[in-house]
Amino acid sequence: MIKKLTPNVNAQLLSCTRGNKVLYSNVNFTLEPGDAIQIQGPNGCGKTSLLKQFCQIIPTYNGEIFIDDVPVRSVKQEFFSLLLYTGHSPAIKKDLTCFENIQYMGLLDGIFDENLLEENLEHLSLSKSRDTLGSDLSRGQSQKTALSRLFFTKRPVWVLDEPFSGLDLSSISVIKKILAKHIQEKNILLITSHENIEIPGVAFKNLEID
Amino acid sequence: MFFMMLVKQDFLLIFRRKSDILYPLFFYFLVLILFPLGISADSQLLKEIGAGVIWIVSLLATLITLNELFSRDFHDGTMEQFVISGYSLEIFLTTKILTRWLTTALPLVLASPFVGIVFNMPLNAIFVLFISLILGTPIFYFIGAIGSSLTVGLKRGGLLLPSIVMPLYIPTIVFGSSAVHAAVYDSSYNGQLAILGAMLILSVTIAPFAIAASIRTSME
Repeated sequence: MIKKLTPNVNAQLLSCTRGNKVLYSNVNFTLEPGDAIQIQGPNGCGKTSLLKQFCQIIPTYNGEIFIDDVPVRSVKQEFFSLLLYTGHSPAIKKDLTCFENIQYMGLLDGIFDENLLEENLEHLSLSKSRDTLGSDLSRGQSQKTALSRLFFTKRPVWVLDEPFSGLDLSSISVIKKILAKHIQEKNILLITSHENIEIPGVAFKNLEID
Repeated sequence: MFFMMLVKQDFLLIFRRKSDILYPLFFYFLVLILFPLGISADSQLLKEIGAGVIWIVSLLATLITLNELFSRDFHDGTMEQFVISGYSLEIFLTTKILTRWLTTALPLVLASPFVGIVFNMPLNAIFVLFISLILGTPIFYFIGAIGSSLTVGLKRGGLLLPSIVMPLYIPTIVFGSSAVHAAVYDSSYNGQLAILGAMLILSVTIAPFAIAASIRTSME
């Protein structure tokens, strides 16, 4: 897969309702290559919905997202090929082993080279659980398996929903390093968390929703 | 390469859960055995009802697998990844349906000649039964997948799925069983098979778009 160019992103007037309740309205942000944004707020405030709206999984209603000044709805497939999203459900198949799950994710990134994927087990110390079935992985291990995609993907826009939940300290620091590298290479990062994330060398924009 | 890997992964997922393959097969044989036992073992009667019975039982055997068709992918987050992968969602879903058909419906179709013998059908009717099921069972899957994708996001969609899908199955079952019935009584069956073929082409070409659209909608 060829490295794709990082776009400018401009999100305007995003709003979301669930039932009769307004989760958030008038959310605006712009992101240039090399920007990282941190979306903060209490539980149930709509952080995940905001990320899903950004990824076009749920509709943006009145709001609009522009990719290089073009409305995203007219360049959806191109935008999707730039996008990496890890959500609440980490897309780990219970019937596949840890490594087969990584192969499945490699498929989405167009990477089929087994040796290359094999190397990625090391980063998050998953080598031991290489042949463990997804149903036998712990929550942290599943999360790590899902996040190991960060080490081989060529996609420039990363959207991570609570990436650190369930992870041990050493894995958190490994993930933080790869995020820092991602930003230094002038890519884009959207991240949600309950608490403030600090990564050396990354200046987060903060977006509070309530 | 991409497509080959996708097919390989889908087969792997299905073969890891052998019960998904064996359950419809067991259901098929058990229900078929009940007919001679429950109604009558009179060979003339079996010959008469055979066509309809085999078709209906094949339909039910595919229907019981439809709930599982997309639900695991939907609930573990894989479907989200498919939607935003940048590849065509239709390709992912069509591959899923085809691999499912190959592993659960094709064994039923391959077993149908033996069932035909049990139901005392003449040889050329058994041939027509086989051909009509080859044409008909993919229609069950493609139409069924529309219902499956519409109900996958619902918390209690269990009863809704058959009530959406069953009426849509009626034309297939009418032409399918009447082709076999015609062959049993030595009359012409080409017309029915041609219509089955036409319905197959229609469902394979149109259904994937409907399925993909309703999966996208279910995400909201």
